[in-house]
Amino acid sequence: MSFFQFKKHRRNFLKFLGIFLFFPSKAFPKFNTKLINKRIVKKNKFTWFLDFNDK
Amino acid sequence: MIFNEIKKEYLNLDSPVLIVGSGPAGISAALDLEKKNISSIIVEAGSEFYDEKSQSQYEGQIIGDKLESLSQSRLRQLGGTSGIWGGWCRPFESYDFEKWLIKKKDIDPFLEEACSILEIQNNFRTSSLSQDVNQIEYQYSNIQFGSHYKEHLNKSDKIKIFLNSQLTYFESVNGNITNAVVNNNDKSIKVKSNHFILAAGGIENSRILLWSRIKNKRLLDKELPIGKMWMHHPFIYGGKGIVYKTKLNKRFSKKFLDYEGPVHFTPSENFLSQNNLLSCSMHIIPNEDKKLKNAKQIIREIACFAPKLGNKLRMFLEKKQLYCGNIKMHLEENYESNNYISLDIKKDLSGVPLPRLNYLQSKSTIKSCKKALMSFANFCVEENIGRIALSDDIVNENKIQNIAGGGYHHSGGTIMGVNKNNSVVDRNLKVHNTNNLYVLGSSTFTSIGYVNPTLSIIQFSLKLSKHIKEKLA
Ligand SMILES: Cc1cc2nc3c(=O)[nH]c(=O)nc-3n(C[C@H](O)[C@H](O)[C@H](O)COP(=O)(O)OP(=O)(O)OC[C@H]3O[C@@H](n4cnc5c(N)ncnc54)[C@H](O)[C@@H]3O)c2cc1C
Repeated sequence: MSFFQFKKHRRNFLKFLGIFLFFPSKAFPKFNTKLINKRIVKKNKFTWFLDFNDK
Repeated sequence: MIFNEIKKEYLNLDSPVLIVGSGPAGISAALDLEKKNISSIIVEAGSEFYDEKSQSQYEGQIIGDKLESLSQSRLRQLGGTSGIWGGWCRPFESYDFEKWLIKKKDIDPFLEEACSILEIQNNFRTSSLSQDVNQIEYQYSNIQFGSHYKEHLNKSDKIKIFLNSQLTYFESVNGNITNAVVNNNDKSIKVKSNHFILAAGGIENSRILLWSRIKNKRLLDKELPIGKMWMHHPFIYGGKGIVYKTKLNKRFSKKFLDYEGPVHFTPSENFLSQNNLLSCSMHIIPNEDKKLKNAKQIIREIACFAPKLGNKLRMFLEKKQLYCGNIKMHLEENYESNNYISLDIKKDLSGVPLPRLNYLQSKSTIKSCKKALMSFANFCVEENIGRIALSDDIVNENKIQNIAGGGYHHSGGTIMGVNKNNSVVDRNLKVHNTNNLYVLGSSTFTSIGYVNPTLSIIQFSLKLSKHIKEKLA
């Protein structure tokens, strides 16, 4: 790891630590479960909204 | 009684109301006035049956985006456009009245009677499927006003209908309309009355008022926005998809949904207001074609990227447990300054300028349509109720090319409102600054929601009939 990369990581870590200490809910934004289980398929000028389990 | 021409001997009899147009709006008003023992005369431009020459007088120019031509989207004959309508009926939602001077409760008292005129049940249930999506119920009327009410009208001694009689313009003295100038078999005849009701349809109402203003400068205020704020329901193919019949019914145990007709959905009031959207309706017609060609095609397409699901759906389709087809939508439009009716240089055979309709699809309508359809598609996946695809026009918010027909619900042009700067008629449908000129039909609608307009048009006809009865008392 170069010096600059190390500095960047350290900066990001400190930023995270700061947010975690002062705004804990923002440090772990809620996962949008509504979007995560959706599968989008484009076909013949249409966009299908499917479930991930639609095999 | 119905006559093929104006009978002068009947004009002298005391008929306090003259109605222009024998479509659902005009006939419903006349029938209700008859019940209240009030005589009326109806002048109807068309004849009893379809007539090519008469229909050709319904032509007009459309400038801008594509719409069904003006001579194909209305009918000039006894009974008006109800001769070719689809009969789909549902009243306005209460939230549709947000911009109106009146509220839903003001026309609700006339719903039962309007349903009986249309011979449908007063049953328009709404089932909340999720926070964002409702399923809604329509009723379907088979009534074509010309053929259905002909016998009654012929026997009536309170209603006189003069066919082949085109109102060309109104004449007035001091804000009081004195005559309707009618062209009957190439003769110009002046018909007197106390109250004049213009019920000539969603284009002609504006056209006649615009021409009357030119012919008679003192009759109508030059500020009145006649022809402006014109709207219609774009009727489009929003997408396609499948909905599991049994899952829908089991999950929500709404038995009224379990019928063979089209299945209708609409975004909830909450969803519309939270996202600041115009409304729309979506429907899938199962078994659109007897051989299920379209349904099979859709399932074949799904099978390309989800073969197992495709196989499952094929079985559901065979067992008739699937709503599968195109998703057709009626979209609400807002006022756009581009959309208005004006008069052309060309004239019809009676010397009245033909209408010219300027029309462009609005961006807010397309945006609202996309959001509503996406929320429906999400809902279908989350609840495992079905699978929906949006057409690329909608996804990209382009101009909608995939029109399912339509431009059939001509509305606005003489809208209801507080004053002459923003509207043409008042809460009683009387033209501002006149004493005795009223307008009936969807041209008076301040907004159009997603519902087909005729049931509401009839509710307003009954409301006006009550108002006239009170005025005459
Ligand atoms: C294909 C199609 C399908 C439709 N489907 C549905 C549906 O499913 N549900 C729904 O609610 N609505 C539907 N509509 C709309 C419905 O037909 C109209 O809302 C309804 O007919 C309007 O009634 P109206 O009396 O205001 O006007 P119209 O029915 O248009 O009647 C106007 C009458 O005035 C006469 N007239 C015009 N100018 C003059 C003049 N200068 N002098 C004398 N008479 C004149 C005409 O000849 C006509 O008889 C549909 C329309 C079309 C075209």
